[in-house]
Amino acid sequence: MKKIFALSLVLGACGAEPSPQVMMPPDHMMMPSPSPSPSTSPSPSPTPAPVQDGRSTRRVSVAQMRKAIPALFNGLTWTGGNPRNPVPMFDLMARTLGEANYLSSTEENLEPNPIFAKFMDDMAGQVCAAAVAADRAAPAAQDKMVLPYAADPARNLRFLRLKLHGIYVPENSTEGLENLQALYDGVLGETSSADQAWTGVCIAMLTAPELMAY
Amino acid sequence: MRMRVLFGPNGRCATRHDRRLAASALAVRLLAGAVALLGSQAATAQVCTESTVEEGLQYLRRLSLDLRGRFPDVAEMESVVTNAGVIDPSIIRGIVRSEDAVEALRQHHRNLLWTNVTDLRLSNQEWQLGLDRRTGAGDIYSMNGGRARRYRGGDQYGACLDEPARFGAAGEILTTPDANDPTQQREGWVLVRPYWNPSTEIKVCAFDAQTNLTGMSARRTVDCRIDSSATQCGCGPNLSWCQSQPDRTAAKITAAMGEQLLRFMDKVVREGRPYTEVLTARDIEVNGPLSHYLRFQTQDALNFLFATPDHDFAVPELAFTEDQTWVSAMREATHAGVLTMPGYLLKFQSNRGRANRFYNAFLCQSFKAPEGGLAAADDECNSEPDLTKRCGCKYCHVTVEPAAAYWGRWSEAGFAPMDEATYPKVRTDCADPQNARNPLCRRFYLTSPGHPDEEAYKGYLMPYVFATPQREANIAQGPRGIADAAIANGSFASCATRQLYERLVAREAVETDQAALDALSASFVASSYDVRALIESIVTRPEYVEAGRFTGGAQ
Repeated sequence: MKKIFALSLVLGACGAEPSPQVMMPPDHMMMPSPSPSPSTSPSPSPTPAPVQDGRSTRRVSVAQMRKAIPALFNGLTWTGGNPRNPVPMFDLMARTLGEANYLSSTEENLEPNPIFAKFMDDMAGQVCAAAVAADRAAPAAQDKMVLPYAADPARNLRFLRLKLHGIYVPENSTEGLENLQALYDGVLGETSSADQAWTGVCIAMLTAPELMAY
Repeated sequence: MRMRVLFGPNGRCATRHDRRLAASALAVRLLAGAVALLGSQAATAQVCTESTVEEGLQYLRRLSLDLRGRFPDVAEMESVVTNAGVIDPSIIRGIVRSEDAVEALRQHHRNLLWTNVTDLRLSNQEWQLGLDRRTGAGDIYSMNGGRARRYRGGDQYGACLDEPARFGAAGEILTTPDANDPTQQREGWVLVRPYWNPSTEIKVCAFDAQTNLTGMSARRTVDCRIDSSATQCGCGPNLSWCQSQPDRTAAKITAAMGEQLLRFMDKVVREGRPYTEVLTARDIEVNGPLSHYLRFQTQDALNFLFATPDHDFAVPELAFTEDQTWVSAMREATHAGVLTMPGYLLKFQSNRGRANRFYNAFLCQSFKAPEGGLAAADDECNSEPDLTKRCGCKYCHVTVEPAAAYWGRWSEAGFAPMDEATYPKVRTDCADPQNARNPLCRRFYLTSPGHPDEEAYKGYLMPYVFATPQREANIAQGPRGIADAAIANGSFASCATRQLYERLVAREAVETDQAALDALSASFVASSYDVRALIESIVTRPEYVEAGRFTGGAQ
């Protein structure tokens, strides 16, 4: 299992990057200015338009993870304590993960710090293993969370890339999937268990910056 | 044509991922060791391809996380792929107007109002039941404070006996002398259906369970709902006047105070009401725990948390157990949105604290010490009693004091409205040294001037001490006055706009954002303060649509 985590971390760090993007939002998304100025005129200008700051990158919050993980995994979430009376870990660990309680802290800590990374590894390990096991028991592909196309690993990786990272990989491309495929093959070779291989892929993707930051 | 600024390392194309990794630098460092182990994989080159589909997907992801608190589902993302990256405005509007968005905005409101007063004690030990572990199976409720000593005598806090209580012919409680301390008289227990769980019966020491409305204390009749000094007084019918520590009744009430604030904010958003109503509206919702507390446990006005039965609205009658039932009520004109709700008044317990939070949360302003710092502590100027004149203090308090005055008729360290008839501006009796120990005088009036300049205000209600005519006018207006002023001069709109903008673009606004902020604020006002329209305007601006830095987007 440690090997799965090590490989997962590598992918989270470097192997699963999205393509660079340049986008021009559709015109209907633009807000008209109440007082147009020459500098905002669409006509060509010899002076370059000023560079502006767009939206910055932010780590997902505890509240978002608390809601997003069950949404991604058909209600499965990170739990701890007595298995007969499990405790929601996103609640139990909220302060440790940086959520403000407005008693001892009034600002949420959204830093991608080691504590957060450690517990997200724990979360991913538990949730992914449970999701893969549940998928094996689910009869229909549409009910499967991680393995709707287990028989076709490349297709399944495309599915997960879209579902977890919001990155579309066309059928004629493997961009961003190579390392995930290598991870899958590596774990499968080591363990001869497709479930462990998919669990490793799921952990890698769930702990990757593409999921944790937006 | 807008062009993304490329600033990637080593001359390669910048990707959003570069920025993402920069933001996640620490996380990446954590992973660096693992990267080194598989260097060849880590060196996978990026390919610079333009993809509106990718941009559209990431835009949808931002919208969904920011406004719904979750990732978009696969079907939504597939529709973006099918539409070549274009997200239909109706989808954006649907997200902005969703119930999920109300929930996501709740987190924003929590940040503004710091809605958590669960650390508060609502009453002292005179009104708190606990389980006495010394007696029987530890399942007998009693009070451990001064009441225990008054009920049973002796030097120790005595518990009752683990046996059914006995009563005399006149209904009086019969006691048995304690075997070890004959000065202590111990009674048995009675079975009571407590208000927090009326479907069960619990054992309660008979003295503590008394239901008398009046008792005798020092040869005077006292109201048992208010005064705990008489031995004939207990916790009332169904123990209604007391808290139970084991059953966390106080925690349920204080949790409801926070929820009450947030529900109010949710309602304003969900119903599309002008966002200004968060500061001005008079409606309120009350659930079972709050209803019970307001009706039965706010009688003891001079307890350390000041509350009275006068709430300036008719409290809906709900059982304590109806914690999921919220019923609307209309408050009187003294109220002003969240500014007079217990969750706000108890989180910020002084009038200065209330004003300070108002400035932070609704005007985007904070009070700071002057450059150069404050005068030395031993400087003579520190003896000035008027904070608007005292060296150092005056830089802030010349603003703080008039602002705090708006809450002048709301009790500090409590949440009771203080009407002029009950709490006049001046009480000559409070100026009399004979009345210096009067609890109301001590708590709310200047009884003992500490400086010659304060002599003129002896017997004044505290907010009127050193009050200028302007401050007196503010006291008369109440919190509604500061809210109306902030709305009228545009500062509320510009602050609400800035806060939502900064929340959504995930950074502080900079100078180049000012034009956008001005335009957004103007449209916010023009839309009758429709906060969801404001959010929709923000998330469709290039400052949000574009991640990273861009050119030519200031429209």
